[in-house]
Amino acid sequence: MTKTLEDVDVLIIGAGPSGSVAAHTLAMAGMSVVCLEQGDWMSPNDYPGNRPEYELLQQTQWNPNPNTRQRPADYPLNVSESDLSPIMFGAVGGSSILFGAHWLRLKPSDFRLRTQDGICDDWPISYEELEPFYSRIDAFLGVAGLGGDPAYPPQDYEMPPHPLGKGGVRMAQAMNGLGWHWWPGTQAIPTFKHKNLAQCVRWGVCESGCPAGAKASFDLGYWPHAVVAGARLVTGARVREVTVNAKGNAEGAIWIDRNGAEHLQKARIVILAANGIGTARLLQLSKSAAFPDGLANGSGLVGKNLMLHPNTEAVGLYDDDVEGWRGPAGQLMYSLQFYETDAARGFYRGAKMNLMPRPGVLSVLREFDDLPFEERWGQAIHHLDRYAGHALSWAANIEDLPEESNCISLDPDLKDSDGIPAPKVNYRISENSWKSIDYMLDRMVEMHQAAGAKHIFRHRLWTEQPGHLLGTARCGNDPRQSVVDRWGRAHEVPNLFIVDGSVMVTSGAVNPTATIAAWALRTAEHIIETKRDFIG
Amino acid sequence: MMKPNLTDAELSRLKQLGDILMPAGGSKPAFSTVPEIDRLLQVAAGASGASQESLTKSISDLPDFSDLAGVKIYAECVPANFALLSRMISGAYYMARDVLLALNYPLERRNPAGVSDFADEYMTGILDPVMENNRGAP
Repeated sequence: MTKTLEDVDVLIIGAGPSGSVAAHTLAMAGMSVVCLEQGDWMSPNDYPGNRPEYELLQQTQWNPNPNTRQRPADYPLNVSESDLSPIMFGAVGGSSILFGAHWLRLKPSDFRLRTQDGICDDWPISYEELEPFYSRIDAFLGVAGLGGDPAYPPQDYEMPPHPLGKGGVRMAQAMNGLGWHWWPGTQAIPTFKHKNLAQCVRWGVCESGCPAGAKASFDLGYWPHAVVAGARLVTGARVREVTVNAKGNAEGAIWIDRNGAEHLQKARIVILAANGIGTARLLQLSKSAAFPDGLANGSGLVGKNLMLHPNTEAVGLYDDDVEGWRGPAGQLMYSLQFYETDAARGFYRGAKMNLMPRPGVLSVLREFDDLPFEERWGQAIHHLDRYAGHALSWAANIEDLPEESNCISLDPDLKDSDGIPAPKVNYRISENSWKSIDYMLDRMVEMHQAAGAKHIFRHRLWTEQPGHLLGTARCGNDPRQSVVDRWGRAHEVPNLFIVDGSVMVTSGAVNPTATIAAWALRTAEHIIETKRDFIG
Repeated sequence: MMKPNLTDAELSRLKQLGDILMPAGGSKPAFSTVPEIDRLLQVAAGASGASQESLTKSISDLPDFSDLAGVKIYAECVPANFALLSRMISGAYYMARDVLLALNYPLERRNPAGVSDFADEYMTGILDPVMENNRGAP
């Protein structure tokens, strides 16, 4: 039997970056807010990065791939027809638990690809509309960076960037020699203590959770403030359906607790913040007589246009000590030299590149796994392990263009631990993206060569990255061509909003969390401004 | 899943394999002579993600090795087992203080940035070429 809970003003599904920003903003405005999260609170003590065996744990229990990790809070993904295995993490803070906290805004051009490059669609909003929200989120989280990057309109940060260190300085000199753009890394890792965030101690293990509590994952960066403001967060709550009333408005959500009991949480406004896969899955699960193809899916676009940002990597090993063990990772620097479309390259759009340290010994040795056995083990290993601490990694985050064939659907067989159909990911890297991957990889090799790398390893594709899950409920002005409007409101369901990366019309080539958080803040403030439409 | 626990006999087998994969070299010790290597192997087993049953079987299936050529044949015949055991052995070895010291690896990994660290880098003028040439501007 389903237990019906007391009505609230706002129900948020998902406690990751977008859900936390929305919860904080709406609770601060005096609205009653409940957020349902399938995972639990994490503690910095849980994370492996400050344990001697952390590199082994990162391959197993702390693997970024939910299918490998198999925690109860994760749901499985069918990736049998996908070139990439998307990563995510079910917990308060969501996938920001594992993010590298690379924190960049989209560029103005990203909002107008149709106008500028004649491809895809323009966003219904501009960079200028989102800019104030970017700035406010940056200040709230204590984002560390350096203003004045000529690749962007003016922006600034309250917290100075992290030092480049030996490796960063070496690469900066090489980039200057090449005449290519670079800029000190901007990241949601405050350089010094900020609110409840500790000072970064540069362990370089950001991507398996920060054991120091210094990274602004949203369980730390936003949720404590949201709870103080009055938002109620329910963990271990797996939503299986958004329900609608006779008028076709969202009524609430049915969720399952850890004991298998069902609850109905009613609300006057429902916000989906379950990421670009989870939100599409939930809309597809929420079929009714009024919405036989899934909730808010009159356009038929729910789940389509999935964009995942393929990543390619060049690892350089140096004879000199580049202090590759020193974090954060994080990005020592980024380059937007090859970000925009250049017709001479033969493909549209480009990539953001980031230089990262390689802290672990095992991760450096793995670069030699393709050597003949006798050159990898025995006495030979003593010639290889000297590169520990001598490694730097350039990775390129490739702009992924939207294609309807790349999509999320409900798997007919695979189920999560509550028996709810799991998502199936159909995703193929396009010819355009492959051209971009190969071009960017060659450029990153040139960067390492210019910096004097002794060995350079090319990894054409990271198959288990990234966690950028975008585009599956895109925003737009035309209800036939989009799922939500310019405020994130579902065209067909006036009290249903979406605040995660699924709203993105195009992906840009930067890590998307800054944009997702800014969008969530803007949508939440719009809800506050228009709340009389829902609450009276 | 319960963390696996290695018996003395299993530890011996792994150390025999470890000495072939990681003999003494330079200032680094041979695998079996690393201080506390038994404890480090237990830690590595616990972090390996393998169940007790699969680990026991993988170790009990190990043949006797006398040299690297023999291990190579084993790795080619049973690559999954070799991958698991070599990962544990490598993991244990590079947790050891003596080994990390020999690599000039910092044992105290906490190294918060100093207040002026970035400013000192910036004051060298390293960013001037980027700004002077307006690099990256659309």
